[in-house]
Amino acid sequence: MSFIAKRGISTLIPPKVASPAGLGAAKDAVRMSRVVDFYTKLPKGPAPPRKTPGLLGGYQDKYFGKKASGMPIVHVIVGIMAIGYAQAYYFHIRHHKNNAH
Amino acid sequence: MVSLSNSLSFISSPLDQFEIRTLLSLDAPILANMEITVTNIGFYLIVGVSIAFILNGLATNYYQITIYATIHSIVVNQINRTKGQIYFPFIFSLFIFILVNNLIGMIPYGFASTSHFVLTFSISFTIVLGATILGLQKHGLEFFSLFVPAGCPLALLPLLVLVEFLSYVSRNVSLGLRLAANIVAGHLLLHILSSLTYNIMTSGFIFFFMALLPLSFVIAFSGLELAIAFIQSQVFVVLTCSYIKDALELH
Repeated sequence: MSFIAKRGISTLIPPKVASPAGLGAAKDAVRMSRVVDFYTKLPKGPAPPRKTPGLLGGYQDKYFGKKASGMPIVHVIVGIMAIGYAQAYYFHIRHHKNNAH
Repeated sequence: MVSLSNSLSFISSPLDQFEIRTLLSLDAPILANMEITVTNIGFYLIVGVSIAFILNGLATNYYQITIYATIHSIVVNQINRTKGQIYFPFIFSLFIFILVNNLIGMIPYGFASTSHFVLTFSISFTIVLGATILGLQKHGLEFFSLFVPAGCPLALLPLLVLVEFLSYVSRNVSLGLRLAANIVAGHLLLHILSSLTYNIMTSGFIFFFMALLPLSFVIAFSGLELAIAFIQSQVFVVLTCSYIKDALELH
């Protein structure tokens, strides 16, 4: 069949619009797949808490604000006791190790 | 008897805890041979101020709301609802400073900076002097009407002015004396009681259990001292407010 004849028939027969293979294949399938890809890569779940900047930011996040606790007081007490004992040892205790006053 | 005297001699001087010792000393022929020294009181004051600063920077809610509101109500009630607000930062930092230093003194092996009259007197003299300057600046020579009680007979005036003047000057001493004397007395009491308890406890098996009673007193007094640390800083701040009010409003 010549090309011209084919053309003639094709104008008569309506184009095959709905084929089982082409059912889900949208025109912008490539774009959609990119969008889906983008959203699947986004982090899921609640947003992680923002870290406070600064030298003591981590300490603040841990013991202040929403997670307020009494631990900083314990840290101060332990620190001052350590410093104080070191001083007491140097100035006083080591002189009385084996002999009382 | 020998063992008893031996064990009793273990009690060190209760005043030992207030001793000022040199930690760091610069002894070089510079700056006209000036001696630059960091003593333990200086060290603990630096620590106290650092704690106050860091706590203020880190705290976000509860700490600030309660103490802030307490001090704010003191300032507003003692001085003036409108004119007193400007003194709030000073009063707040004064309270925190005294409180932190009192509490550092309560920590075992700590050092009570506020037990030293040199510190408390320098604060109290500065405050009363500042209040006097404030009054003179605000009222000029009229400030001296503070020493004249209202409606006093003329014949009594010289005596009453003298008495009022003395009472005004004695504020200097009383303000600082009250704080340091309270802290010294508390620390002495705790030291003496706990040394005695320690000596009783270490002198025998039965004595160990007998000394649990005095030990409970020591613990109770520690709680009392903790309360005094708060109360004294509050009293200091309230009196400072009332002195400022006197200078502002002249009775």
